Amino acid sequence: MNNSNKKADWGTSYGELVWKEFTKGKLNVVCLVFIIMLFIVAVLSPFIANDKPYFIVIDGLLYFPLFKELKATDYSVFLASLAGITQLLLIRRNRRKLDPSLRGSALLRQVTVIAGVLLLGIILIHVLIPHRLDAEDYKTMITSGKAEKALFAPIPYGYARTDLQNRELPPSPEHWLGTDDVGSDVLCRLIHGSRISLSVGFVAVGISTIIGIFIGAILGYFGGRVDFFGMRIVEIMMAIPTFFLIITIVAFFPRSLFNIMFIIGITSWTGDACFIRAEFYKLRKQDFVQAAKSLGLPLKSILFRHMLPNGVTPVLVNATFGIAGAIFIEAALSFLGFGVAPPTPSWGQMLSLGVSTTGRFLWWLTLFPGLAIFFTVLAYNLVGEALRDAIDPRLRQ
Amino acid sequence: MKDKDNILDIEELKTYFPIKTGLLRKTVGFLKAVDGVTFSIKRGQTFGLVGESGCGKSTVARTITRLERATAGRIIFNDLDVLEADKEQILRFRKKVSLIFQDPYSSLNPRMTVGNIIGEPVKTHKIASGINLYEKVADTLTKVGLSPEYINRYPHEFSGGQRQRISIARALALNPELVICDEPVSALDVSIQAQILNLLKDIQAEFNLTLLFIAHDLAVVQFFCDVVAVMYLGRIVEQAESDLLYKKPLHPYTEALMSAIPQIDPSLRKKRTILKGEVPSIVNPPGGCPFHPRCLYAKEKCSQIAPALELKEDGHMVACHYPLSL
Amino acid sequence: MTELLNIEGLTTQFYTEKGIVKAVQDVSFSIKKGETFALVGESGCGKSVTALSIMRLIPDPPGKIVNGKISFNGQDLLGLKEKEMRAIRGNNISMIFQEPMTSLNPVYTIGDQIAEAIMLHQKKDIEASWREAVDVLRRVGIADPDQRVYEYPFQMSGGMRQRVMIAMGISSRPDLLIADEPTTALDVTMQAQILDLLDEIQKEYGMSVLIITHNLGIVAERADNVAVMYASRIAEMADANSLFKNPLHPYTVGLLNSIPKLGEEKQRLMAIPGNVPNPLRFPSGCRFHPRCPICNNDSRCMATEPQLEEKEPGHMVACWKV
Repeated sequence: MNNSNKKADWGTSYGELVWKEFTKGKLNVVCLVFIIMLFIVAVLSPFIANDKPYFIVIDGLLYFPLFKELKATDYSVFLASLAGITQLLLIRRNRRKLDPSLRGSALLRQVTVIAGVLLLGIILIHVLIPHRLDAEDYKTMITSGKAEKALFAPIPYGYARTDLQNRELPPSPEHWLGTDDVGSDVLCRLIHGSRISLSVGFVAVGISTIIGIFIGAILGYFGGRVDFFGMRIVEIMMAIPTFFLIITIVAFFPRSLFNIMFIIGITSWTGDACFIRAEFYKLRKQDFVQAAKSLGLPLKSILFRHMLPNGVTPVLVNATFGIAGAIFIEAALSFLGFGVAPPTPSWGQMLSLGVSTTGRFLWWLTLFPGLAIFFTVLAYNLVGEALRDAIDPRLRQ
Repeated sequence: MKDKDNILDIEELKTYFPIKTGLLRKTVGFLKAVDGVTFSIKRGQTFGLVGESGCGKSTVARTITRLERATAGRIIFNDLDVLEADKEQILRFRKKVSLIFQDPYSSLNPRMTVGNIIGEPVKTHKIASGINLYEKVADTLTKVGLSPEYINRYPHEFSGGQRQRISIARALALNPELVICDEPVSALDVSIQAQILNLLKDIQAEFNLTLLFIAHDLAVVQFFCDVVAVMYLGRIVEQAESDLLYKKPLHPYTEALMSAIPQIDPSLRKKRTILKGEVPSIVNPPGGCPFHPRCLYAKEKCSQIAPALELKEDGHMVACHYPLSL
Repeated sequence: MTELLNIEGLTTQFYTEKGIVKAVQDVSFSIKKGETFALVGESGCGKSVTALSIMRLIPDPPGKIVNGKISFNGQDLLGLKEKEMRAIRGNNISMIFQEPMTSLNPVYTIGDQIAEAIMLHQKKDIEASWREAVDVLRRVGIADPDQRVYEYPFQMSGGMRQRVMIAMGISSRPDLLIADEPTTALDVTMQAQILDLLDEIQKEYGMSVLIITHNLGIVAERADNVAVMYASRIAEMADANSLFKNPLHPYTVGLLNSIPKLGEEKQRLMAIPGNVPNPLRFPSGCRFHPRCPICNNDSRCMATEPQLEEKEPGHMVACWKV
């Protein structure tokens, strides 16, 4: 090493290798793009489907009803996605600018700052932005000539807007996917419903995976008495049927999406914990873990840097199935009427409207939300499977 | 009592594993993997520990490095009582004592690059960071005979011998004083084995290391070590300088072990003493001398009283009531 | 002595995703009746694949015997139908494997497993087979064979299991016993016991033994004839005495020098530099030339592959420099 200003080249990281392997499959990329598209649609749903125009000119004055009507939830979602994108960009920057030995702590710093800003932002948004209800029908303003000019969203319907004249219409050029029993546009509700279904899957599985990995890692690594009592608790948790627990809790508490996500999250970690425990049990006897121990590496590093990447595969697969499962649970709850409160749409709730109040079976009310659930779940599962294959270096040989 | 030249003193070390059964995991007995082992290693020495599988030699290594909990005894490293040490002292101890494992395939994390495998401990012990860390890793790789380009490769891209070199580099990067090699060459091919043994010799001379070398192959240990201790069923049965041990084995087990090694050169072949039976289970070791059921020279006393390790002549210690050639 | 097994130009390849692995290439040797023939080499040199090729146990796909002739007692093994081969396997040719732990089925008693083999090959009824199983267990030195037949593999130690494997191998009194690293998983003292047992049985039954090992000491003590394999080919072949007294191939010399010998005073071992080549990309010319101490960048070594030639009576070497 005589060249002193030579840059340290630590080569491709494991994450990059996995990414390279993952993107080798065309279908994997398609599925990933599909999921990303879903997220974009979910985030931008008020701009895609809204009965308020982007702008409207009334008596020569310019108004922005759509922007004015955005709720605190919408702003929170925007802020959260902004934070997410910033973090991703920062990770890229770290890769290029920082020495790998410094990346870990830098990342931790960034995540803390961004999470703090995000939390503060969301609180501020909820305090500062008043809840407005703009019941004005801008479309009649145009037709009646009250307003001169307006630009509407591509799907000019609101998810909460009822239109009893146009109820139970099959798909037509006006309503691409038809209307439901109160005359709301199905496509619009599908787009707004994606937020619920996606966040249920993500948040619930996020909570359960983190709890599961943490508990499983401790049980598997320490073994002995910790494992013995820990496993009994896991078994007790396993014996509780999640679905009925949720139904019970929903009956006591207000019907809220966060309650559902939280309950799914804190009851379904047992599977992950068992997987991780079993993997760690095997791994802790492996020489490289013993080596890490004998070299005096901190427990945090042994558990999460040395053992976890080697034992995470089953949990990863389980997580993708878990996302699908959470979407199904939400759908089932909504189908039973325990889900999110109307008029907020969710895919499951829409599915339950397939049979109308008059007793007629309306195929477009079941087919489209059903397809949406089907494709989302499929995409998640395929991505999970591809990730499992990509993550295993032995399969690559 | 403590000799200044000694880097490591082991006194009456015992490592028992409880045998548990039933729902409530009641302890029904103990597996005495290491049962009262005493030895000392001098600074700069190569100390060999040899024995068949299950004799407890690896457990000794793992107990010294605190990977297993000792049941009784004392381990003194320099002036540190290892078994009584606090967290901070242990961290410093771990920097000075490195362990090299037998299986080069399982001792390297398959998900980490060579650079990370070697670099992480260096970073943890605050020996170097940033660009210095990179240089340190590259430098260490060169020392074990690997190209610094390998820094960003993954373990599965290497052959067994190269992996063992990486293992050695990982141990070496911390500038240790004592390196414990637990069967470092027994998983390797003959031609590679010689390379690794030579490498260990070279780095020992270069860095003035003390080595505790554990193996089942008496020929390798005899060639490589200054002092050899032979273990049988959790105890040391004989200890001597390696030439002396070869020329004049005092314990019947050492004699049998030595004669069992297949030799290429007929002139080196010793009269073969084939041992009867197999190594008894350590759960129920035989009473008296643990070797007596297989011993060709066993007498009545052997089945009743266990012999202690005694100094017979110039550094030659043996645990036998009726030592050979005395 | 007459020839029992004759192999000519055996070539076995594996078709993998990364390319064709030439595991065995142009290997020829013959084993006489009653002799012990040793195939030595380091891991991946093709010695085990050679044994599996003789047994026709190469998993197909990915493996395939592409070329060569294996004649056993005058019968061409490669031309036989699978059904005919099955009658020979375990009956005329038996094989014992390295890992006695995994080569016995853990859910059957050892009696079941030995008796099944006897029933199959000797067409005996169940009772006679069990009696025979007890006899053969006694023959391999297992104490209380009447009780031991009812035990499961996990109840036995490694040495015991290897004895059981040998019992299964010799139960049909084969003409040829292939022992693939029979003692690698065992301790030295156990190794000596097992090898002595094999020797004894071989003398008693008059069978031939093909022993596959990486341990040159075992070969020197037990084998009559030896073939040293390197990178899928035979590098040197001779009777054991002349091979060890007068090794000609630089690889054999290197191997012998790399082994620490008991009682020898030496500062360093003479190691062979470099690594065993990747079977996907063998070096050009002589496969050993990148590691060879006497090659000296000779263009002939680097360009053309040397053939096995008789350099001294009965001593065949594949090297340009000898």
